[in-house]
Amino acid sequence: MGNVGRRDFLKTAAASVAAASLLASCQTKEGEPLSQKMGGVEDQLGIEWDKSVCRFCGTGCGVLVGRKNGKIVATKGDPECWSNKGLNCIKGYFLSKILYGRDRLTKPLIRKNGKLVESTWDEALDLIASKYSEILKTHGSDAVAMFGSGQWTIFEGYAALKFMKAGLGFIAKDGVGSNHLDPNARMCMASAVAAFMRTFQSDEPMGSYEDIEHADTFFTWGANMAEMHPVLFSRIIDTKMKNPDRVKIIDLGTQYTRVSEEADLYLEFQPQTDLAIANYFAHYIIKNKRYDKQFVEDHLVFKKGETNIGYGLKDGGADIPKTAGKMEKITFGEYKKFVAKYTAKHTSKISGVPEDKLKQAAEFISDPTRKVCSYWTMGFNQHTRGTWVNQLVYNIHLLTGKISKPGMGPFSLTGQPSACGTAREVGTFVHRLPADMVVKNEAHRKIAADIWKIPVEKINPKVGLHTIEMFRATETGRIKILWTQVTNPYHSMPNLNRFTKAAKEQDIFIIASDVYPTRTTEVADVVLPSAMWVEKEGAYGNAERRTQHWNKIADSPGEAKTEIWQMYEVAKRLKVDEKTTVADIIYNFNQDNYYEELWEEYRSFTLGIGKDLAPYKVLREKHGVVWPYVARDKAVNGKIDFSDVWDDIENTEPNGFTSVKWRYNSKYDPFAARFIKDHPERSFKDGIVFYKAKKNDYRATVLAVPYEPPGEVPDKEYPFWLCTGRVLEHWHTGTMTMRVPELRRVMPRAFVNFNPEDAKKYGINRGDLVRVTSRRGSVVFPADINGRAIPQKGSVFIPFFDESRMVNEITLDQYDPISKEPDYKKCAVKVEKV
Amino acid sequence: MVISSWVIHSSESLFDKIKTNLTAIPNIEITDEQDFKLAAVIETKSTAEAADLASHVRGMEGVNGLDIVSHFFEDETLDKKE
Ligand code: SF4
Repeated sequence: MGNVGRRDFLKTAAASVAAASLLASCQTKEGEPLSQKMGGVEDQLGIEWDKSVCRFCGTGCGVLVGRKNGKIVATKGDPECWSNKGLNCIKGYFLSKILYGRDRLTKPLIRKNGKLVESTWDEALDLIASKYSEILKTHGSDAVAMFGSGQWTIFEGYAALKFMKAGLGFIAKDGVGSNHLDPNARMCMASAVAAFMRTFQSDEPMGSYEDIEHADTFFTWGANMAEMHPVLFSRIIDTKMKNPDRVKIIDLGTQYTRVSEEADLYLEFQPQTDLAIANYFAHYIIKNKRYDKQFVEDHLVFKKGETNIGYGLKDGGADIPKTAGKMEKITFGEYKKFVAKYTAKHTSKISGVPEDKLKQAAEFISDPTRKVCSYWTMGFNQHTRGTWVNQLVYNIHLLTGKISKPGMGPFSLTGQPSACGTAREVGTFVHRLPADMVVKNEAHRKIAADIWKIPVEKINPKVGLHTIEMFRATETGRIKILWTQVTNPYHSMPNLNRFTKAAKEQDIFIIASDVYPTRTTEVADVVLPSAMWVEKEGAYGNAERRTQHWNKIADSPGEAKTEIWQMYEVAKRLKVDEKTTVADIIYNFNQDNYYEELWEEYRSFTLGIGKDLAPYKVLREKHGVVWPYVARDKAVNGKIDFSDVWDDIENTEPNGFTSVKWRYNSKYDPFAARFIKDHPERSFKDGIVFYKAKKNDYRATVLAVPYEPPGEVPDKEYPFWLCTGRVLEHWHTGTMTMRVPELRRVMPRAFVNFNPEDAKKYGINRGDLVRVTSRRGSVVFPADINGRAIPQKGSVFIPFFDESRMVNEITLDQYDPISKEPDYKKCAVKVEKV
Repeated sequence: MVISSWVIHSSESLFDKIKTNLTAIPNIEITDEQDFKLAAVIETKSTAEAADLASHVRGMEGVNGLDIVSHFFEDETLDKKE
């Protein structure tokens, strides 16, 4: 085809998919036919299309990947994926480029005489296996840790969980597996997990992204969605444009962002005082009788939490009371009295938000005619009271009954593409097993052991060391072998210098599986080159509980291999006896059908309990499936017959399944419908039931906890708050996006962002070099003023992507005593012009 | 040659102005519109140029958001002689 003809074809194709995307936002039902499906006009150019998922943020946008002559030549937002309805953000331009950085790791490396040198796979794997054998036989499983990722595919996370929690017990001298398995998701959404479990006894949001099209009031809490979840923010803007007078955006934050710019109301609060503001909203709702009395009566239980719970600043959590997570029942009257002290005046004094703004926001959130959605990410989660603040927002939605209905609900967004699918659902945490089960619970261990066909004694009942304590244990020599996969902790840990020093000085064997050289590979003893994204089969689970599968589409470079293969090969080298290896026990899947068999084994944990995942074959076919994906028939789901309530459920599919968009609501969720029908003695007038909250008589918990300051606050010597985070161009530690020349050119280095008034006061101009010092150290950054965001007076913002200037050398390793998630948003620093 | 397409979200009051301003940019062709959103096709020499243009348009007054719909970059990936 000539160039002109090809150009015309491509332009026609581009125009028609763009037109289809305009239309897609008007469609209200998933699965409606769209004019542009996988192929289209461009098929005539010889492009083969396959579905995939964006490799970056937790929005989990579907992407169609076009291949020609074995190479990726095109990408499109997937119009059949309902998470993004055919749109990608600007990072979509660079999706395939992350595969092709010039310094991709292509061969295993082993450290010899202080230097990493190329080796064969056999040499590297034999060395790793011999280290595991030696350490497990000498020290037991307590000396072995793995640090994984919310970017692991679900397959990889499940394989890692089995490796650590089931496999190692067959080699270890103590005969149990290791629970020292945590994902980097500990650093991004553990607070949301803890809060969901404490409130509903089931993890993950109840609503879906479709809420955006049904809602008319959006509260964003410290979440710069315009830059961090741009496709979702586009959907919010779309909703607003359709009804600009009615739809309101209320932004609450510690810095003015693009979201603040679009907002109808912006509340700028002092760091950590979101706790006080949320309590004020609850007080306003009750005082003005805006709460839903029936909902309160039917669905809620009130509790007060333990206070003064510490900050995890002492090793081993020595400053945390054992009762930190305790919640005690109180009455509604006692709760009302508790929040009554959060008057507008008192809250304004703590938070710095003017009283009239607090009242305006409270009016919007409590107005019974408004459909309210609340969104947040790291501002809440990376917080020394992260679990509390998540729960305080649930309080608001629970008191007003604005939950589990289209257009209403609290929604914690995720930062990573599979923080939900891999970390939370698979349960790659130190205390977890799949499907919200925990190692401490004997019945849960028994279920896992039965599925895994291993003796239950092999599963260690003792909760492992969570991320911060795991890395602190590398300082003391307790952890002797650490395998990191798809993550870069020696860049992203807070108070980083102490951990890097330990990695260099202690006798610890570090294995890093990654795609590019990173700060972590720099301290590793063995580096394993990994396949990434569409170079392997995979599946991710996004923030709206959508599981998305993709096939292998491209080849990986050199000798790079999947983590699934790497773990299998190590397990194969770990001999249980003459005839049996660890791989024979934990990875006993047919090699021709490995992924399907692994998936179906994992899926069996989820069936019939409201966490039901879709069958492998359905996932391969569909462009994402939201769970619970419930089978009507007991014969299929293995536990419950839904046939007598099935006709009342919306969105059932002809195949006898339904994908639940609003959990706990009997109009959509067969588990809720079943429960209500089976419990005629209880009042469920609105058709809602929190059926997972068995311990609380199927009621959600409203928690009374106060405002408490963070572990370090500015003072005379260190007068500024330091907040860290991401920028639009770079993702996490920049290991992928800094390899894309276009992104590196636009944002080549980290900066320190000042409020213009502070900059003037300190005589700092844009581009000046500024030394930022905390009690942990100093790093020099160029100054930015009047950039895309404006920090409030008395605070600075520094992004963490830049490995040449690592802000984590000065952050503080304080954490939420309940979720154990570190707080990267608040510590005290001083600044001086260099 | 890199061909891509976008959806541009515009404010109501500046919709016409944004349309006029975009039409004046030679690489951009407005192909459709609905509810103060524009569909556009972009022809550039490289992905870098397309991304720069996207950043520029995203920063324009009255532009509330810009999403990428499709991105064809065959000439950057495959040998041009193919
Ligand atoms: S919004 Fe997130 S998932 Fe969607 S294209 Fe952008 S980076 Fe990828």
